[in-house]
Amino acid sequence: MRSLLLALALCAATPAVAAGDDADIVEELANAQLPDPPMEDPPEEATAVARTERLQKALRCPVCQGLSVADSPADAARAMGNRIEELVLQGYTEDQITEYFVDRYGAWVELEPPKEEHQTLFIAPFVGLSLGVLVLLVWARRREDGEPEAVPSYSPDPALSQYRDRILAELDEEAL
Amino acid sequence: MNWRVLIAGAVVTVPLVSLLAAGFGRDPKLRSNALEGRDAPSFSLRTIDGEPFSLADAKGSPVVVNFWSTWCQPCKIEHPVLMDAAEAYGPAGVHFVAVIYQDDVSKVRAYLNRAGSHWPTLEDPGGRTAIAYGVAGVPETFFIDKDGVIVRKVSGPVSQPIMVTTLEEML
Amino acid sequence: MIPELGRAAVLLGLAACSVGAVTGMWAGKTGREDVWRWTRWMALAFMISIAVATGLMEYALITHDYSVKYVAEVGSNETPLAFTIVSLWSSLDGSILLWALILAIWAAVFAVKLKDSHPEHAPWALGSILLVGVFFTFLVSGIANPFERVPSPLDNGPGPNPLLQNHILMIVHPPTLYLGYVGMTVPFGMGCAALLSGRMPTSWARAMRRWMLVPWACLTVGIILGGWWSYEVLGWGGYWAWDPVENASFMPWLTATAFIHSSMVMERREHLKGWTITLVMATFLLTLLGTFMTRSGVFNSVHSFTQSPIGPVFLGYLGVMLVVSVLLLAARVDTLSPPTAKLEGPWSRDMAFLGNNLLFAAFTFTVLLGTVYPLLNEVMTDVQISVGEPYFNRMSVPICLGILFLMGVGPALPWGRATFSTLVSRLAVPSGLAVAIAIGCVATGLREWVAILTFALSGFAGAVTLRELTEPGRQRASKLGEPLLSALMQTWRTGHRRAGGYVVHFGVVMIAVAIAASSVYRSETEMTIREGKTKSFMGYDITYTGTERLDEPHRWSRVARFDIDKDGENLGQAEPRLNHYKKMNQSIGTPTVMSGLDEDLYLSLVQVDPEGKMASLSVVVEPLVIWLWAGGGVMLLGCVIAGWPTRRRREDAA
Repeated sequence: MRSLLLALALCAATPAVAAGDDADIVEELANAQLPDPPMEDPPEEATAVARTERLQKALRCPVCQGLSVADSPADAARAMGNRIEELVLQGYTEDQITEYFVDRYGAWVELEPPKEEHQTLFIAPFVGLSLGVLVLLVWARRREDGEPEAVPSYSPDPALSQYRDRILAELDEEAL
Repeated sequence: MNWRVLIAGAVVTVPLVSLLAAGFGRDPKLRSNALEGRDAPSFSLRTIDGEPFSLADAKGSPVVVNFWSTWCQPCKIEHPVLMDAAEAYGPAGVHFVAVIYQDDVSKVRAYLNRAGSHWPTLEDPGGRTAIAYGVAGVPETFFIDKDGVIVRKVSGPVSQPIMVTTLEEML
Repeated sequence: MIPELGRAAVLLGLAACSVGAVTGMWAGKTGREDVWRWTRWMALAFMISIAVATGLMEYALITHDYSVKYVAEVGSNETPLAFTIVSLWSSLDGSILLWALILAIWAAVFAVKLKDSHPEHAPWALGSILLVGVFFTFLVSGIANPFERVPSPLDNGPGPNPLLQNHILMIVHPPTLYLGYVGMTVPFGMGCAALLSGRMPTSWARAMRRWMLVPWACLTVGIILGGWWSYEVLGWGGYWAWDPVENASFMPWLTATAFIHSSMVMERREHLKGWTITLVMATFLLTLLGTFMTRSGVFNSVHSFTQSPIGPVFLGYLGVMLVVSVLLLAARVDTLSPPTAKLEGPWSRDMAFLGNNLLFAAFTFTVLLGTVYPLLNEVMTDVQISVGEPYFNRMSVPICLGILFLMGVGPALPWGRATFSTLVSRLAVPSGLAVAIAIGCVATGLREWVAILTFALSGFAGAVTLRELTEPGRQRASKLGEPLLSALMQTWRTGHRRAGGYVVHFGVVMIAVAIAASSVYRSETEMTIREGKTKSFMGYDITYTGTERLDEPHRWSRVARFDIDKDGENLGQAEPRLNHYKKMNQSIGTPTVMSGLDEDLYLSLVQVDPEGKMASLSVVVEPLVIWLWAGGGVMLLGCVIAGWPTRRRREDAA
């Protein structure tokens, strides 16, 4: 199946034509396709840029292998990136825009699944780490039961230092 | 026999292997039928000849919306199926419409001159309509019934039997 | 001719390694010298057969013999010679043949080097390695047979995947990765030998670590080369996407690194034997898992070969090896002798090593979880989700920071118990440096706390590493009055394993800094330039001078030329291109990367209008990317230093 073609063309860039946008139609399209109105007023430039970037990094390019819209040079990704920017400039919130894309494409268009629904994924690594720490402590505690080690005390004898140096050198060779 | 090691090993390996085995028979390629059963997103676009077309105009009749492009092999494979269906069901009131996806209008015109079509071919500036329909590849075909509800979405080339069955159901 | 000859060679290899596996186990059990000799000969025969088979396949590829199935799949008259040669590993069946070849080479080298040493363990180990070889050779001779005869051969073929013809790194990355990946079988075999014989003496532990070093070095370099290739070829200016198969190569690297560290503890203290062997087995099993992920079609990835019947067979093998490993461990781990020395704690190098193992194990678990979670979710709920870069970055950053911290603390601590004053004196300067770096970062306007922490901890670890690296030399110089440089060289020569290890650590620090800098200080934009005009970005002046069409036998390309100037100085011409391959309808871009010591300028052509009047491109400026690749080189250097063979005074060489 030639969607494999799409899958392989990771960085495909078709010479696409920038169609002469008819302003009225664009206006109508832009407004007609989200069911709810924007929740906020059009944001300032700095906020808009930040929001757009965040969304472009959080949403997945539909025709690529696990790349975000921001990273993918594919045409489909660029179209999506532009659309995201449009929606941000109209005042839609990040949640609204994310919901829009998830609604149309499915849950997989988010590069990171929502925490609320997939708590295991986010908690398991910490649980695992904690378990590991626990095991380590228990194991180390059990090992420490036993004879206390006699701390050797010595003062280096200069006459023996050459032997000591040689031993140290040999130990170093073994060390790592 | 160290039972702790055995149990730990079993706890790790059995779920993992079962999970991987369950993965067979699945298609890992992404798909979504999210829009099936929902209202079709409206759109107003222009054909490659400049005529306006709006989905709202076709309300009350079944509509088949086909996203395609000239660089897509399966699209060319399904073209004859669409032609036959348009000839057979067009008179029965089914509207067929094609939307270009990520393509060059001149290439589209050249292809249609060769292959022909019985339906308006619409330009989708900025890919907004494709995005509204959640199009993740071509070809994708949406079957919309008289009430404007998407009854079926087909990813990949539509086969003759599926085309006929779905159209019969919608009429 | 070739299909039959090739298959015959493979079948010979299968026979050789089957016999060798049996005799190896037999020699291990009985200790018989003659059976051991048989095993070694079988290993050699295995290698020769598979080498012949591979040679035949290369011959078929180069002479475009389309009667051979694999050549019909990936060969093409138009492909340049270099890429024809490497198309051996561009597709599924050829890559399994490559696997068998590399495994056979490892087995033969192992047989030769361990001829006279470790008589108690070597036969078991070689037998295990050959047993693994049986499976892969069986695949090549049967289901994944690349030598099948095509009934009516054509004159030409489709050629390899265009993405695999774009860059010279395609030639280097897969074999290096395979050397590492497949090489993990050897330490695995040695671990099995320890369990089967019931003994894990220090000499064998030392040998295991030595035999892990080479595959580990190859795997490290292979992974970094993969990132480099991704960066140079794929056009998005990134080098790691947490793609399932990238993860598949990363996980065994993590457990192998953990193994190297825990085996040091095992050598010195005779502790953690069971855990260390578990790690080495896990490493091998993870390579099987990784191969499964690439070839089964269950995971969607950049590397996915098409769905093939190999999948279920591979999963079956993976399952069998998992069961065997668990059973072997459970049954025999208690026969290994108990530890003789006490593990010091809590402020000792021993504990730092254990911390290292803990973090690496957690890291492996996290990557595995993230990779299989979408599959798990889909099997349970029939909903597809993605677990991508944001998740992995979020999870791996704290772990990596912890590892950086331990890299600083661990070497600064002595092996024995440390008092608080020792701790303070050894860590004072590095900590001070870290704080100074952090303040400096904030002062220059950096606000991302992750980056600040990374830079500070890198300084911390880097300072400790440099100090430890030079301390023996400096002490020697002051005691013997020798000039510093010769003192350093002398201590590095005698203590080369230690020195090499610290050089590797330093490479890791370089990579950490490079990753942090290139992510945080990255700038990108898109621009459209008219012919003859100039646009500027981040101090670079980019002038579009025109487009040219280039025709090659296997593709045609549109090459756009840009003059790059910075601060008035001309840096040369950039020629990003869009390649159109005959096999594909969409074009594949080749970006241009201009690398400097301080930053990279990355140009990716998006589109050019047919007359060439306007060019649209994306421009990325990423600092310190070169340090990433250089860091990899430093790690390799460290491995070479550490692994350099020395004349040993004792008998247990190899």
